[in-house]
Amino acid sequence: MNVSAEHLNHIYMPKTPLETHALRDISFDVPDGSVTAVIGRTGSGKSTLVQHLNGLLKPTTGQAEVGGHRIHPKMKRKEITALRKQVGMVFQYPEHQLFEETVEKDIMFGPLNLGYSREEVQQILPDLLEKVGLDDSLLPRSPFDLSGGQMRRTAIAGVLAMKPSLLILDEPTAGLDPEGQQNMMRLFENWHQKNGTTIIMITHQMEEAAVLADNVLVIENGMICMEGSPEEIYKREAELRELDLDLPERTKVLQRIEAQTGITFSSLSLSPEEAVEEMSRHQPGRKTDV
Amino acid sequence: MFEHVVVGQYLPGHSFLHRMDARAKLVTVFLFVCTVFMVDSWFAYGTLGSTAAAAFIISGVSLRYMRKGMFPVFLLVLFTFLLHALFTREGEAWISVWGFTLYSGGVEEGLFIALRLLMLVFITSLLTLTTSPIDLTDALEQLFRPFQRFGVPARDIAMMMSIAIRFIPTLLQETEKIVKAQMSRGASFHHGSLKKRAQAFTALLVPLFMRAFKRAEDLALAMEARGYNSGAGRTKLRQLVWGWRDTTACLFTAALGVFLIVFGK
Amino acid sequence: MAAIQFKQVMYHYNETDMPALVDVDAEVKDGEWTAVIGPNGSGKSTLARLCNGLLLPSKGEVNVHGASTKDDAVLSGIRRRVGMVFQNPDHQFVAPTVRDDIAFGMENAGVARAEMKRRIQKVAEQTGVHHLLDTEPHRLSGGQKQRAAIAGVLALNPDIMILDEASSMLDPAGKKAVMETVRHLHKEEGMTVLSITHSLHEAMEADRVWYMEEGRLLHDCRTSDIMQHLDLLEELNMPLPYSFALLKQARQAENLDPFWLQAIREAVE
Repeated sequence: MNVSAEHLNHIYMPKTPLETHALRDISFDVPDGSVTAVIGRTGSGKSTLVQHLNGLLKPTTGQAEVGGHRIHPKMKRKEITALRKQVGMVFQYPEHQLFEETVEKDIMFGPLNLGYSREEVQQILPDLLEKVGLDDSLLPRSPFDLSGGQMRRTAIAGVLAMKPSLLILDEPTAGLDPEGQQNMMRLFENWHQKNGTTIIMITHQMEEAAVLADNVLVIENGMICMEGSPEEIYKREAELRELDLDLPERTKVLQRIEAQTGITFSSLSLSPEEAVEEMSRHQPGRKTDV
Repeated sequence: MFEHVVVGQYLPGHSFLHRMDARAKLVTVFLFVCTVFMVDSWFAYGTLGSTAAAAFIISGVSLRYMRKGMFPVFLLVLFTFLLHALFTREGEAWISVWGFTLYSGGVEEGLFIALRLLMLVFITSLLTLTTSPIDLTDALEQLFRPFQRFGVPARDIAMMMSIAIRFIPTLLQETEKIVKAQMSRGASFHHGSLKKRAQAFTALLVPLFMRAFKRAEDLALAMEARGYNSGAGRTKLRQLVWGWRDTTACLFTAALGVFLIVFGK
Repeated sequence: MAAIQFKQVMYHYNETDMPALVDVDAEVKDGEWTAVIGPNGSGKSTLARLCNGLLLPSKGEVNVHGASTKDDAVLSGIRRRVGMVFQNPDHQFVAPTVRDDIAFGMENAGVARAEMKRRIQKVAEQTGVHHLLDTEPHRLSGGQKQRAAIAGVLALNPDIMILDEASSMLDPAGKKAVMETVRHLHKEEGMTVLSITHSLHEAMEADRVWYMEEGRLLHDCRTSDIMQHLDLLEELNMPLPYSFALLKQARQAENLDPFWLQAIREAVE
């Protein structure tokens, strides 16, 4: 699903003393089937931006387009409902939205609201559970009896069950331990590969952006200040640092090895296996800084 | 979004009323309210009304804020007035419309009750407009401290109140977030059938409560770790200072009350 | 003397469940910074809560400077000496402003008002929140709230500070600021620190690392030794940050010239 924005502006509480210009003249283009990482400091406007994409906020001026749906200042309720059928949104700490008596009911809440039949949802349930890594014995349990990780998976299953063509993730790994983070990223990676869903993901972890994203949007002060592939963005190290953003660890380490030994890696986001593999094919001892 | 939330309706300022000790303000309001209930003459109401108006002018609070705070109460007052005016059968009959007869006694009583209510709301609004919730809590705690020996847990109640005040913005932020999350799952809070809306509100309230319980649990642990209820004699950083304004205001209100109760018939 | 000593500690949350801690025998040395790592549910937080008597061991003893947490007579003293900062910044801020929150512990301990004011100034400067003293919590970032929490703990003049995943919910800027504060306290003020974390990077800042799994303390070594021997990396049952994963991969790779291993090690350090 193509996603784009044209001169999008958002002002909170306009014409009051508390007026805040949260987004300024945002324009971008995200191709169908791609993964885009949105990064920036807390309060830079990332969340405000993505909330426009499923009509939770309307632009003050300008517009956005998601698939065929136009998001504009005078959007009607019907248009918003139609838009929400296409766009799934996983908020930060999504487990906070669980409320039903059973895991099954909670997963079904979204799809039933959007007009899917119970049977339709039940049909896709086994496959869905497998993909998010939940055992089906959990279905009749209360979501509040689950572990933190299982709760988050349940909440995510509740969003994926609506079969969104655009998936918006707001820091999906926040607060998880390293294993949880890794599993979560794998979940979305697999989902993306199998279903070709377009993903827009807010993240603080440059590492995650490096691994998963095709494009990166860097936002500061309500404006897009950098845009490009992860490789391109990571070359602008000085600018990133000014925004309190760090290079991903792998890029830093690989860069340092390059500088020390004169090797040139095929990319600066290689996995450890790939990096070691490239090193073993390389004759050592050509230290450039001797 | 809720960064700018103001808890309660306190408006910071430097007027005579703002600078009064919160305890003195509570005592004054208490005396004033007692007087309002104990007098019932036009003269007494006129005097009390002018005093309240004078206090309002001194406070420097703009009429706009007062009106905003009073509006919902105003409807209640109007309703009470009509109720009394229409159903009290005393004095001479004035006019009769649709089977209701308006008596002079009814109108008078209705006006009294309405004035009473208005003055109560007016004076308590003035209190909350010029006193921060925290000072109010501290003042209540100190005023109730003598009752602690009779088993009134003044300190714990004050602690509970101040925690409640502190968490209101958090609760609002959380509400906004959950509303948005459920809306993006197709929940509808403003439209659709009653059943659907009821379900949407369940989807809001259950998570809010679950979060509140969790927060209470964490908070209790954090407070214990920092020595709350350790049994040591507790001290306070915040200090309420009683000054000439406070003595003057309390004495004045007390004297006014006595005067009106004795001579205001 | 050991700042905190765990002696054959067992802990059960309830009789029927698996124990949360099994036979923990270890010492936090005075003036050292110990980091505890391990997967979720390995017992790290339970261990932290035993240090100031929020939990009492089911078996064994926890001694703080030689005094047992089971002794009611010394417990409030122990709580004052062992400061604790929790994970969720919003769930430990009790008061309406930063100033009041810093004062909360001192109020409970019955510190005189003038002394409170003096200490608030001092600790607010140490933690970099002096410009925020009259700010309300909902106007603070997570990192600022955590630093206020540290300030509130410091105001009680503790000699041990426990951080229970204190930076895990913060954004990168907040994490950095909190770590900076802790580093300063440890280095300049000689504070004994026990930090629970799931970030190996954070743990590497400490003097010692404890690795826990399923309630057991499996490894206890100096951080400098990890880089020397790397054996620990093979045994950690958790995903490693990239630099460590690369080291591990290089170590395991056959016929990789040792030159590369050295290069990686230098790059990582």
